[in-house]
Amino acid sequence: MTGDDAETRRLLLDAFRREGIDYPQARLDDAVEDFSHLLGFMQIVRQELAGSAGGSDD
Amino acid sequence: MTSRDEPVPGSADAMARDLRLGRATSEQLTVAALDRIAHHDGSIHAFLAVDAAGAIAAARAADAALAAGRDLGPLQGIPFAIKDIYDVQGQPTTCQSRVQSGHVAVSNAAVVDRLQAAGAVLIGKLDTFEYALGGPSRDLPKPAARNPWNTAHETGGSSSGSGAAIAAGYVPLALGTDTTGSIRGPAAWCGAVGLKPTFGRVSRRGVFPLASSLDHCGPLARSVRDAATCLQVIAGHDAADPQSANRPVPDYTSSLEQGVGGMTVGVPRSFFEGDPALSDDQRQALARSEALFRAAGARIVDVALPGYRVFMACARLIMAAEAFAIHRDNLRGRLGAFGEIAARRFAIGAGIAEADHADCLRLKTQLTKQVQAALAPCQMMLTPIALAAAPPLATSSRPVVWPLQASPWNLTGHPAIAVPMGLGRGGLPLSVQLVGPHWSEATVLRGARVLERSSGWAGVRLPL
Repeated sequence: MTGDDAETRRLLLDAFRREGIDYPQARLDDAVEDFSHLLGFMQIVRQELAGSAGGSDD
Repeated sequence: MTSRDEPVPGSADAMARDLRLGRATSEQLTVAALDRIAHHDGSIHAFLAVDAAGAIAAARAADAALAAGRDLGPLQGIPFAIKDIYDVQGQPTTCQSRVQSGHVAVSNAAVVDRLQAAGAVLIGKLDTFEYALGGPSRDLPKPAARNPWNTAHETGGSSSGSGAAIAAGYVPLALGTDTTGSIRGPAAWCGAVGLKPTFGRVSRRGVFPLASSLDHCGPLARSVRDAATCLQVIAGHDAADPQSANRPVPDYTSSLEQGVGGMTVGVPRSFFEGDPALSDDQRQALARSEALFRAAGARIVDVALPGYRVFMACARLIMAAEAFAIHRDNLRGRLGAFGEIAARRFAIGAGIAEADHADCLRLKTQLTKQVQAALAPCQMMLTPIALAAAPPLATSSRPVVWPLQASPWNLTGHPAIAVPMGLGRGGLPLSVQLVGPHWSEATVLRGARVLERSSGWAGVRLPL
């Protein structure tokens, strides 16, 4: 497991704990993998917003 | 070439003509649909529930009204079906989920009311991915729909039964929902016309939500005219849907045959040209569409948009966050009642912070403005909806990412239509997508009709 994988897992487990979700341990790896995609998407969103900083906004 | 006077075979338009010429009754059309479903749906699995008695009663009522001179319009007596996340009073809305066990709708979805008031005949409820997201799954209460063109291939989703029901020729019209492509994807892979209207054009009251910022209701249909006719009936303001737009509904059918002469069609090539998932077949379908538009008098121009991945990332995050909010309580208490895919896709939304969701909504506004600017010199854009024909059925709960490019227009709310463009080398349907400025459904339908006419799709026989 890479450091990034471990951080992704920690973030997801924290979220499940906070929300009271008892996610099956046997399926956790798949959930972590999908969640890592969401984190990657968030990077894309942040980069796009940062690139447009200074532009008009509502 | 099919003209206005020659309805597409098997279409609602053809059926409406037959009803008025005395060649058929609604009861005969309905019985034929029920017989076809009984004969074929054991292998296609488009329907989750069929209401034969209700359909026959509605058909008889439509016949009696027509006989008495009460003509309610082109959908009177026409069989249709709905994705099973739409409510029908007194019937379960299963959402293809065990979580919904015991649920019975207390009233009709707004669009069901509108279609029934227009005399259309509801045949039953169609397969969906679990809560319009969890699929393709093999661990749900009922079997997943199969693609009638080849039952070893996917239908697309989440309006999987709606696409299959059109391709199987059960009904000429079906309602689907589209949050990141769930009308247009199944339409593309099943050879149907699929229309996602402008955000706010069609009420979503009584339809189980997936992500309120992105959800759209709309038709899948045998023909472009059928899609236009259906939109005419279901479009319009509904004060009970907070996102419903209070603006006039134009006539969607009167300009259908007027062509695209003098129009400008933009092509956002950077979206798809370098994508390795774009098949040769699909590339040729796009090139052929450009050629057909040029031949019809349109001008083709390149348009520049932000990268497709930016739209996709933003839409996926909004969907995950909003879907989690909707299902939070059941994920806490009844996670085991969800199928594996839905449980995973809904639960991971817990990890998206409210500030991140707010950032995504800010980017959504920004991207919408950029698309509006790109569309300014055009009447519509031409893009793929699927980069390749329907893939083989998934065999695991970790299905591969499907090569679809649908979500940008859910994010920006622009109307988008999937139009069949013939069959690929594997005998599976190909399709292209037209996208227009907000509220320009009449224009994209007109463009779609040009492709339908000139591609010869109306003459392609349905597979069953």
